[in-house]
Amino acid sequence: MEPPYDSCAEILDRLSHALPAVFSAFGISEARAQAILEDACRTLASKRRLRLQDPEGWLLRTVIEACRRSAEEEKGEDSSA
Amino acid sequence: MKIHPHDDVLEEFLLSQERGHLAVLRHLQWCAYCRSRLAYLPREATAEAGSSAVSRAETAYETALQASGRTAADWEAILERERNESPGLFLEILEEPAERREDLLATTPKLHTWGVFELLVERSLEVTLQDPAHGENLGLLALHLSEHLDPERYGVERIKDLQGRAWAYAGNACRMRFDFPAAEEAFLIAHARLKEGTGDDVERAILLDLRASLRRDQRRFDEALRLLGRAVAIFLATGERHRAGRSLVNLATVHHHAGDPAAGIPLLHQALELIDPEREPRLLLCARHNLVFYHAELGRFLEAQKLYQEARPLYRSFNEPWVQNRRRWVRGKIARGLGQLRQAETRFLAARDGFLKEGIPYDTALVSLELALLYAEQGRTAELKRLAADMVPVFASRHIHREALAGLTFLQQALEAERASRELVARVADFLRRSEHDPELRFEAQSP
Repeated sequence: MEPPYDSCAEILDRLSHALPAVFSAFGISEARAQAILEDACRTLASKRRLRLQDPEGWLLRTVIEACRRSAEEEKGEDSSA
Repeated sequence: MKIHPHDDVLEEFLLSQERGHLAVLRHLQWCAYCRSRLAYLPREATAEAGSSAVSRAETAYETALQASGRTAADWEAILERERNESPGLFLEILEEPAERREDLLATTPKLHTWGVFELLVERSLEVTLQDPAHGENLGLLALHLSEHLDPERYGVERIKDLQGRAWAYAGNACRMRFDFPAAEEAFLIAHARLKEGTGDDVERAILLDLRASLRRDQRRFDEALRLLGRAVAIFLATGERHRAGRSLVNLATVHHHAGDPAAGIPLLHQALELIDPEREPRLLLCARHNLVFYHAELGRFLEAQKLYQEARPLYRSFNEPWVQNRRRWVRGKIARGLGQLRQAETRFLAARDGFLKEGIPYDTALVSLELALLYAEQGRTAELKRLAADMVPVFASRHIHREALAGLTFLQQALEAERASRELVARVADFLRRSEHDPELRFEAQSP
């Protein structure tokens, strides 16, 4: 039998103080923040059978990495404009 | 700072910290979650009070968080349904004749789900231990299926990640059936797929760990150690303590295969701290058994005996021949080392008969040679001859490579001619031990 695991909503709830600070630190718009979160949650859900030991840390790292990429892309677009 | 600080710099830094800060540092050393949080801390100070700025940021993203939570819940429900349906669909695939399965996958839309894809990949790994060819086949079926998945629905990068894992498992299966070039190619494709995927470090470390097993079997030990070192570091950095423990057990095995079991012992102790016994009790048993075995191989029989006593309840909970035969074998080694020759003989004989019954020729040979060493030490030539005569036909009738059989035949002939010394028995035993993981190894009748 598969062990119970926390849903993405529960993990998001536990990260509800950290995530806004991340988005804010990278200057991410709310629309973009939602897209990043949805993508990260879909990936986390698709990897459930891997039984990650620290899904909270995994989600946070993935979001930070996506924010970093997003901020860099935006910076690249600004400088080429 | 772009380079790793020198030990002296780190030491000075640690010594300069107060006790409270040191406790935080120690926590950070092991907590991947808190290390991630350092990426956005300290939060930017504004003209207003910090707390009100934070609360404003939280409010600004509240809608995004709530909406994402709802979308994620919908997606999780879809995947759960697919996962619940997948065992039945998996059986439908297996009920089809092997040559029809690819067609079935291509032409049956109800099979084109993440649940079935994922299950095929998982089963590929699970069955490989018993049947590598079947494991490889399931991995390849998973890859065929993945060509028909809807990228809009599941996401291109997520599909690439799981394709990467499927190739990695297929490569592992190729390694286990000694097709090293095919394994190499599969691992290269796995690497390429992961590069096109989400960039998940855990997936990367899983691949590194499996590639290390190939390098170990190719006897490229330095590379195997380097790959496993990277895997352990990634697993620890991402909070995957159990997987780090598994890689440490593999790391110890590389040292053992390289002829240095002593180097494996501290790694096994470290692994035991990390392994989650509830998640994979077999891995725990494997680590503890190897610890007993390595001590016995190093001649530390009292320590081996003590470790065995501690592991005894665990051995008992795996009442299956594969485990019990190994248990008898290691107990025989310990008894022999402690001078309890009669007990050693009884245990070696029981282990040998068990391996024979299970159809495991290499282990039958290795334990038979332990028995042969025991007989040689006691000058029991008649038993030695009978033992060798029993072994050769078993080997000739099984899938075992020619050179190993050549080694055994040579020993049998020497015994018949009454020219087999204890040293010769030991040399053939050592050869068989090494040739199990190295089919290219050649037996030479004369010592170099």
